[in-house]
Amino acid sequence: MEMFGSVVLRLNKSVNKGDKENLLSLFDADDRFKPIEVLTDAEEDTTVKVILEGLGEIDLKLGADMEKKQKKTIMTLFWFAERSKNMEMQRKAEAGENVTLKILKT
Amino acid sequence: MDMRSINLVVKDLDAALSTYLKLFGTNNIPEILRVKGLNDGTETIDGYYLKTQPLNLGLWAPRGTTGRIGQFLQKNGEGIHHLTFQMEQDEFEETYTRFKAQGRPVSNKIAYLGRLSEAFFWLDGSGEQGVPMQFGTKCSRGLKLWENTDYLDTPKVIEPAKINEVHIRPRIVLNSAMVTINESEKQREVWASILSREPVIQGNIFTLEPGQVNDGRGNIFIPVRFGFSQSKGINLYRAINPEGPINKVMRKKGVKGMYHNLACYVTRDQVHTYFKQLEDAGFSMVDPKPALNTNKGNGNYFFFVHPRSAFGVLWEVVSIFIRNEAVKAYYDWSDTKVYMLPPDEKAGNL
Repeated sequence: MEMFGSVVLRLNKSVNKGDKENLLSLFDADDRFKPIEVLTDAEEDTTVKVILEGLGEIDLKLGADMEKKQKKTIMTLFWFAERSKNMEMQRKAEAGENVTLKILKT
Repeated sequence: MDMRSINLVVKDLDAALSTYLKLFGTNNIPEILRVKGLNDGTETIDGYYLKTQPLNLGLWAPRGTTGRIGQFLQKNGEGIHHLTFQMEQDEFEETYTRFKAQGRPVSNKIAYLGRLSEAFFWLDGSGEQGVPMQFGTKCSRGLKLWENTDYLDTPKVIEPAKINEVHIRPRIVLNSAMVTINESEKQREVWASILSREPVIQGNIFTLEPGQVNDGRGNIFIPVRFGFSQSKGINLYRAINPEGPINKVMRKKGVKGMYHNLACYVTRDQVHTYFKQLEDAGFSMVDPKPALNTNKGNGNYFFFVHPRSAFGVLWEVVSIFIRNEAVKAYYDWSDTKVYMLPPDEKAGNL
């Protein structure tokens, strides 16, 4: 799998193992709009693996064609229906904790 | 009565101006006025007045925290504060008298801006309509209601602003404000009375058939539109699902109505270009690209710019269309250059 992009985000809520959360529920507006540099070209509807290190992961589809070096955000990578898909939390985490979000092109 | 301007309250006027020059493009704003010391008898504000078309856009910063706009900024932060409606002088005076007789919370006194010979009054947001509104007239004679008017030597300065920035955008038309309300029938009657016109149903913008609109983000609306000249208008949305985000926000704020977003319209073959221009300029785009609206065969592209990058205002951008006298919509191909099939000049029957 090829690295598509990564960014460090701050959890806006505390979560417990087993909770169902998504990219919108976990991060506030400033983090949802934090720039993520695209590292490789990809076409619309390409499935990427979104990994919140240690917390959870989910496969999501890109919402548009992406070009290397573009600056994207959670909002401009994924349509609402994708970014609001729930994933299961693998551990407890506190609000304010920094989490690395990695996106891999499968 | 006609819609004249949309007015925002901001903290940093120059930063807001710079942002809105980038949003609209300097080519879409024929004139910008710098206004200093505008006093309505209750508070003093400074601002820029952008002659966007057909609706103008005011950017205002209050000097204090106790006046109408100052309090709003303290309580709600930056964003849409009010719409201004222009009337002929007779209608203006009749409307002020009518609102007072109806018990609506209008200004105690009309404000006469001496340097412009313009008169205004407020309809407070505590009224049944739920949002602040301003009504004005360009006077052509002395006011009959002079005894109920504050004659003010204001504004202290109003002059064309010198703009050095250049941002070229496709044609952008600003003509719509979206208002959300919490009670459909009663609110519709209130707004119809205030605006002196009946709304048209907007479930389908081409046929005016009733219907619900699902915004895909948890809100389901029943929309109606109060139309004005040059395709201007106010869309009144009743979000019918109580647990939708908009109803939650209105309950939290304890309001009956709320200015929800503004809408501008862009040359039909330039929507994707404009999206990229805004993205490159650092605006917070809400989705990956313009979405194609398939609701009831709508056929327009649309996208949103998040309020965090636009001084508290959610902007909706749509492929340009115009409305005929019946407020039915037709695609506007007037400045589209890219096509395989040329537009039918007779289409729309406008």
